[in-house]
Amino acid sequence: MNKERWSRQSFLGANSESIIDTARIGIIGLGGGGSHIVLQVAHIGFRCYALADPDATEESNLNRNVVATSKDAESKAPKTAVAARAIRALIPDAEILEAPARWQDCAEMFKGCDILFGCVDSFSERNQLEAFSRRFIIPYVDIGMDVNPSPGSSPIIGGQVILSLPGGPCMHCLGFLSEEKLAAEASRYGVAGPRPQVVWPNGVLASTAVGIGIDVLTGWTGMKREVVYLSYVGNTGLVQPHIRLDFMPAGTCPHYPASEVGDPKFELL
Amino acid sequence: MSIFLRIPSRLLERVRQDLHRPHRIAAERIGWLFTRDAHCGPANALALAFDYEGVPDVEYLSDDTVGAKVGGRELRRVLQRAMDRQHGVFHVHAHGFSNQPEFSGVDAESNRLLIPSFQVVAPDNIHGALLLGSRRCIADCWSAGQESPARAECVSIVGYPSAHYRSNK
Repeated sequence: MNKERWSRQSFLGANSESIIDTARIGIIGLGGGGSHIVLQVAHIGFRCYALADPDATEESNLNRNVVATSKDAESKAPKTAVAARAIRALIPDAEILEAPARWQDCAEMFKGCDILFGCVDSFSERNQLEAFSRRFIIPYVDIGMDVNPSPGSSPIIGGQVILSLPGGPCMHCLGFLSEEKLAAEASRYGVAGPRPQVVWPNGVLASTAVGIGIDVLTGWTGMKREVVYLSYVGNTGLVQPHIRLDFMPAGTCPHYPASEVGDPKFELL
Repeated sequence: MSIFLRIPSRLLERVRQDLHRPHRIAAERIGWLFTRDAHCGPANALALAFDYEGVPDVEYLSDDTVGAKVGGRELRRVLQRAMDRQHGVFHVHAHGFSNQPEFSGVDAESNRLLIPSFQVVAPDNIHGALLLGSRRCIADCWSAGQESPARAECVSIVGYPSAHYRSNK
């Protein structure tokens, strides 16, 4: 990395330049949240990436996709190509594995990541991403936002940033995911229309997630954590630890046994 | 093939605590890290650690010429586990005095004799030897069908924070 560029973030630690140069960052979902994460990690100087998103850029994305342009919407440029372009504008020699596809169809390229950022828009996708990250022992950072109507009042912007670590509490342990939520979502499949999305909550959540990711990779704060679960209320701008952390059961995560790692295979019983 | 060994930080903490305990007759402790594998593209493989067993106190043999020696019963037990469950096995010990750990001549010779036994009982798995320094870790790995080891491209301790010990850094 250019020494001048590096000089402003040397507080991240003596090894951080090497870490940033060699770590592979996986980002799944390159829309409102993912585009912010792409831009920020590129500014930090990360050189190696794995990116996946099956969608093309559309006009409706431009209110929140911070790396896309009007021309990208006109030409329906793949979101992966748009993200890769943004990275290379800052890191010309970046190594980028990009797949304009569902991440499940190119999952192999995410196995080698040192951290995964999930910027997807369904409980089902989050569930699958977390399961993947547990199976291949990769820290997983999830972000998401929603705008919910509040009868007789203004809509409420809500969001979350969750760090799920192998062996630590998972999103099921945290109550963020549940079989009931997944079933309800599945029953609504095909019915849900466009969801309200705006740029600034995505920016808050993505920035928070990147900060967590940097600390996971560099340890610059000296903190040790088992889990991170932050809730965001866009109406007030408040980001704080989710109250559910106070009621989490003790012990290891029962949803992802430690032995369930590696490529799935048949075992004789 | 490049091999990447990943160990959850909680698990490594367990390993370090076990290896740090003094033993009545052995100068150092050893243990076994169990792994499952994953392909990672055409040229890379992951060895993913999920369990650890320290050698029980009674299985150490008295031998002043080496730091630690275990008997055939313990080796057969671990071989049996590897065969029954088709796990990878990494022999683990620590050079806590070293910031830049490296296998000694005795370590390398012992590994050369021991690790192929695991290849016999669990031939499709990566097996090897992990050495913990005061901070860094290194691992030599035997891929399926390979007679000679290769240094793990990276040993990653995954947690908050994570640490990635790359062989060329």
